Amino acid sequence: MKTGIFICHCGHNIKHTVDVAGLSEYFRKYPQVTVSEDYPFLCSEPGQNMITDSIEKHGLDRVIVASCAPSLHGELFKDLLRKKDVNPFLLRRVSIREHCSWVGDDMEENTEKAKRLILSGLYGAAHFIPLEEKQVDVNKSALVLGGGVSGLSAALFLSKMDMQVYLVEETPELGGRVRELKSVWPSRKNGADIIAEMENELKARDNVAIFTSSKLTNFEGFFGNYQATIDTPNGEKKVMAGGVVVAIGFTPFDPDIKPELGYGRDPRIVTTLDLERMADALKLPDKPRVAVLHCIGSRDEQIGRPYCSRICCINALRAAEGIKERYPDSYVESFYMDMRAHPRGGEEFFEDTQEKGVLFTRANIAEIIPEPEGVVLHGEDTLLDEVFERGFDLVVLSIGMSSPATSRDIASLLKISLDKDKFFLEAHIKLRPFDTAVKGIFIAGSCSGPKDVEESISHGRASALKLYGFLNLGYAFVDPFISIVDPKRCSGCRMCEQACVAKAIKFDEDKHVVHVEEAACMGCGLCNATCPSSAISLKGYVDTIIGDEISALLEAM
Amino acid sequence: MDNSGKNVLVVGGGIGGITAALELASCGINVSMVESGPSIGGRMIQLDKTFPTLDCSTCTLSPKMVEVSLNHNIDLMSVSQITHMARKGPGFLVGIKKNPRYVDPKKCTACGTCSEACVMKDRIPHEFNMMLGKRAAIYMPFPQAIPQKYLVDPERCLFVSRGKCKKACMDACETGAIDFEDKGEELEAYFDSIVLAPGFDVYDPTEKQELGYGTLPGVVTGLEFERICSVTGPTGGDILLNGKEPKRFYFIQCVGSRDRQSGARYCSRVCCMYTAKHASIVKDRVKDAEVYVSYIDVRAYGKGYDEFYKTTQENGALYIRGIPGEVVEGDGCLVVRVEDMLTGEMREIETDMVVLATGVRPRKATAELCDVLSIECDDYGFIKVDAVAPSQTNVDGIFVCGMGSGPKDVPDTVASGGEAASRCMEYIVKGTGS
Repeated sequence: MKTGIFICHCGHNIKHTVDVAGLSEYFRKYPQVTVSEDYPFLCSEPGQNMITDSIEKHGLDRVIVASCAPSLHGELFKDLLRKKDVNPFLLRRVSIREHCSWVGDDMEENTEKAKRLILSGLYGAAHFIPLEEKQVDVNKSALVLGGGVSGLSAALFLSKMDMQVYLVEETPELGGRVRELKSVWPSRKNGADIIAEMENELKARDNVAIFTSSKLTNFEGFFGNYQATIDTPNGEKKVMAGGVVVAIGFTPFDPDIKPELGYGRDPRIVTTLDLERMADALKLPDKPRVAVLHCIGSRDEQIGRPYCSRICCINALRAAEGIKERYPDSYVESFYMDMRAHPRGGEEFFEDTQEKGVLFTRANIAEIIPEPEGVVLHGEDTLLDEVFERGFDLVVLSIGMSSPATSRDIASLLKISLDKDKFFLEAHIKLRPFDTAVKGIFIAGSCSGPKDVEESISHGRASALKLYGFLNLGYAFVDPFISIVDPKRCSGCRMCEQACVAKAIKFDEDKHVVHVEEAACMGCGLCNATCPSSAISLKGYVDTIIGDEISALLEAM
Repeated sequence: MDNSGKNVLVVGGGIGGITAALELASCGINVSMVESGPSIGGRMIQLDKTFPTLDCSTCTLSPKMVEVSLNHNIDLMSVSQITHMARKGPGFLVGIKKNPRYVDPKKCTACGTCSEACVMKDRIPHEFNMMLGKRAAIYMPFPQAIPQKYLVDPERCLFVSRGKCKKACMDACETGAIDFEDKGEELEAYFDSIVLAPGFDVYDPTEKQELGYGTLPGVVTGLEFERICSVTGPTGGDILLNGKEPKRFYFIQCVGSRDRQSGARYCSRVCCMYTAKHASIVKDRVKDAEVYVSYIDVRAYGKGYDEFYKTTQENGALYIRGIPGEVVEGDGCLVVRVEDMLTGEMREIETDMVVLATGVRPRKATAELCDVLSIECDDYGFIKVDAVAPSQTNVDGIFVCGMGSGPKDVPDTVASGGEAASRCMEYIVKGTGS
């Protein structure tokens, strides 16, 4: 056996608190280790060349890369083996960044832990066998969940690329929240017009099936061959989809959660969204006093919304401007924490709004109390360090974005993850911002975190393009980490069948044993753990590998 | 759908251009990437870490750069420019000038002996390091550069510029890769569509004399500070000022942003967060560091940003609302004079290093590029786009992504790269009537 060990400095990230040179030196003493080296960035071209050159020069048959977590750059290092005709499953990744250098700053302890982890990889890799990835055909069709501006952008693009599209929208109408906006930033176009244009274009296409008032009820299969069950007003529909774009948007923050705001108890307290709907019906005195409050349901840890909602400062500015235009003699005061007018043209808009006479007060508002003669704000001016009470005829709450109401349901149906705020979690915020951990399932728009219209459109299209790039190939490779059953050991108890979430285990009535449907198996290993007769094992993760890796961690060194 | 035989030109090899190029290539499109500099990677590859995850920038971007160089559908042209363009049917006939590198890429092994031998070694200010540190006239801008090849700087090479040099580099090169006869190449090619990713420059704060940039040692820009922090930078990643580790740091935000005087009313969208990142890097690497940040509004609007800002404060960075009136020389230190708007008090704060969070400007070459391509820009010089189709320029078939159309952070640039590529695909498909 000829093993090559390659240890990455990751710039400062690992080298800062792990003795990388000491590690590469240490492993040279093992007889099965042919080469052991360290390098500043293994993922860069010189770093990659170092690995491929070593494979060629020494005829390596095992490669251990000790660097970042395997979820990052997994395929990159596998490809290096492929390039040199070495089976890619003879690669072992060891995480010495996320599991060592980022955890603590004690050089000695970190180095010791890294040593153990690499040794464990070395012992485990000894049992690796070449595995083959199976090629499967993919369905050139896509399921798009959500008919808001992001979902519509995705659906339109995929349809134009000759993909069959199934668009599922929960409400009776397409267009999501954008339909309600009178003036979309920064174009100032009417939201309904933007939607109508997209909707008409989509409806004119013959490769798009639109299901409104519908929802996804079941989802199974694997990349390229997903089966979705959709509950529609015309009964249940089953469709095949190669992949999915999830664009289910957001839920406007409900100010009821903060009773001190008085929302819902007095018609003079409204949200920015209410104001969009009722602007024409607004009845105020000639010289109204209007307050606009920023950060309602954002940057607020107490109610579990620690994040900034990204769009509400501009919405608040639009509300203030709208009032000023309608009532030139009005007194409009905006209460903010930090003015986040970052979108295109936003800063200029903020300045112009000040010039139009809107006052901006940096403040924390503690309470809103409706009195017969006016709604009274109780707050603290953080610049003057003064407590104030001020009466208004109208209070507008610039509400933030909360995670979509159905994010949990969709996440559990599609087996994708949510972040701490219950928005969908990206595979990597910069490298793979549209990917989820499940192949072929992409996320777009504000369901992965607050976004404005422009950004949601970009996201919808970018996700759709990713999916198209995958599906247009016409084939895909399936992971070889699947369960195999030893029929001689199987007692036919069928406990594994119950455990399997992918419905991949089938019982053979005649032979009274189970077998695994390879294409459906996700390689989760639940059946392995359940089997009382140890009749099932997972390719690439057999017990000897796990056992030896554990003993390496415990062995005296 | 068979997309082979379709050609797209991507101008600019930063994270925006790279994203667009890789997406297009994965759809089977032939992509020509024209980069004016010696390596792709753009501004992002100059960064030490990226917010809010503190991922190392090189580790995030380098694999994508390698993908560009290995992808069979992508033809990378470095040190190259667009010279002319003419509309031809739905597409474009474009002239490209490939400037000479004077090093044969097929022979160069990037061993670096030429650079070691160069008589100009350690004598030329290094652009990649924001002029901190020196390089030779034959060089590779940074160890992870793509192409992974050396090149000669014709303006600074004594032989190319004056015809007088002993050419030690040629003797040193074992593979005979150096070729002073290299004339470069001019070519003209047809493209079905074009994606522009010209990127950005940073504001030069020299004109703000009150802040002392250029006159007081220890006053640096944000991008200079990135290079000081970076492992591939002039100090190997040790935070040093004249060889000594500073202990007191003062970060000033909104330098050349939200500022009519400097000609930019707009917000640069990245400086609040990169400052928070700098503050947390300092807190992590410099023991007992004292960190002040001056701000107007902290614009931590992206996913995980506000949480990152909060953590930075919790780790001890002191935020002062108010931009300093001046930075002056003190007794063996710098003194920052600032009105703290929250307490109303005038303060004088002693510090060792002042980092100016300089804002974003259109890249200088953008104006020329837009001239050649008949692209309209806004008053600031950013490329004008349709707000509902944010990569659509005034020319049908030419799209833009990244900072070229206005300030964006990395996640937004990646999204805009994908969007531009998608519009490009749509334009091409429509053009062929399929």
